[in-house]
Amino acid sequence: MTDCDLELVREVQSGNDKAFNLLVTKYQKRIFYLVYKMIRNIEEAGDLTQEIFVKAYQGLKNFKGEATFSTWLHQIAINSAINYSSGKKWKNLVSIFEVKEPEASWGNPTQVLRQAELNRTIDAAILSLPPQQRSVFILRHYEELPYQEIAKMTGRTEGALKANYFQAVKKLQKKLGHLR
Amino acid sequence: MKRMKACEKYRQQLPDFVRRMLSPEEGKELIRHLADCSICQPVLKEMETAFQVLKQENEPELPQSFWSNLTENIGTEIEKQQRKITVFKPAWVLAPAAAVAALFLVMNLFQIDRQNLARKNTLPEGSLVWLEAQPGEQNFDQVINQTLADMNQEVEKAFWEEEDIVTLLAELSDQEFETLEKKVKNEKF
Repeated sequence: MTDCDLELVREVQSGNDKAFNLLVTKYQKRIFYLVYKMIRNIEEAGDLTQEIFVKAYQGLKNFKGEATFSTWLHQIAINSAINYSSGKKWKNLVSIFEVKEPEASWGNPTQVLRQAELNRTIDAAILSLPPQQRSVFILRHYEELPYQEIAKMTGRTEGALKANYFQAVKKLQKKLGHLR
Repeated sequence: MKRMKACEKYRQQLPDFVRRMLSPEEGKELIRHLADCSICQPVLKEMETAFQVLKQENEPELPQSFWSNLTENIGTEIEKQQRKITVFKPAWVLAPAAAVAALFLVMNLFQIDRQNLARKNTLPEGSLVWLEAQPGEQNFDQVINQTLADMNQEVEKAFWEEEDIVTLLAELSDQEFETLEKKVKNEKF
């Protein structure tokens, strides 16, 4: 944890709620994108991000600083996203209506459509991974976190995490290999 | 068999190797293995392909208003939680509630039925009579004072009834004794 985070946490613990707003502003994008990559739905990722910060606020009084605030917050986010994914397995089938709109672009329409199709295929491939394996893939591939840090967040050994990551990439390779 | 075990160890390093996330030592060791291993080489190629596809993914770009709304919504949710906490504070609610309940209990338990007190001689000595509150009796002080007055009267009556005459005469002053003596002498039996 940076000293700044620790100071803000202590402020919140002593009753200054404004300090928590600063933590929200600092981490909301990171947590949102982490959740979004796990569940692949902007609106629901927004709702889940809210829930995660409320949980963090409620749990902050028991936060002793054994892990960094960032690790602790990521742990809450990953667990919430795994629970969400486990509870909504059927939603993993990406509906054509849920696919994000392509950004307004002045580029070649064929290219825009191709990009939308590619994004949709990647979404489906990532959502097909089991939630635990998916979380390891997201934390290592997108967040580029060291295994040591991921081990703290997930409570698994580094060896198990490496095996999980490899398995996830192998599965994605099967689903995405033809797109190149 | 030994070769297979080694391959398994190196294969798990392939995703990090493609993304240049291995330490220099690990990287060098893996390159030496790959140069020599015809089984791991095609696995590496396939992995590179998968990562190239993933690289083309677009992260959704969200407007600034999305982030300010998110911050605001989080703030609102937290305020709601705080209100819930403020409304339900067991320590604040339970302490006065317990005090009121205790007072009520004491008033009910210690309210003495005057009628039963008057009949206390019918009960064995030392018996306590705990009775329900008299309906309509609102003023607790009044009830207590009346009860105490009744008790004093009862005690005084019992004292005079049971006291030995000799002990009573001994307690009189000379003047009181003389007055009593005159009264008794004038009395016609």
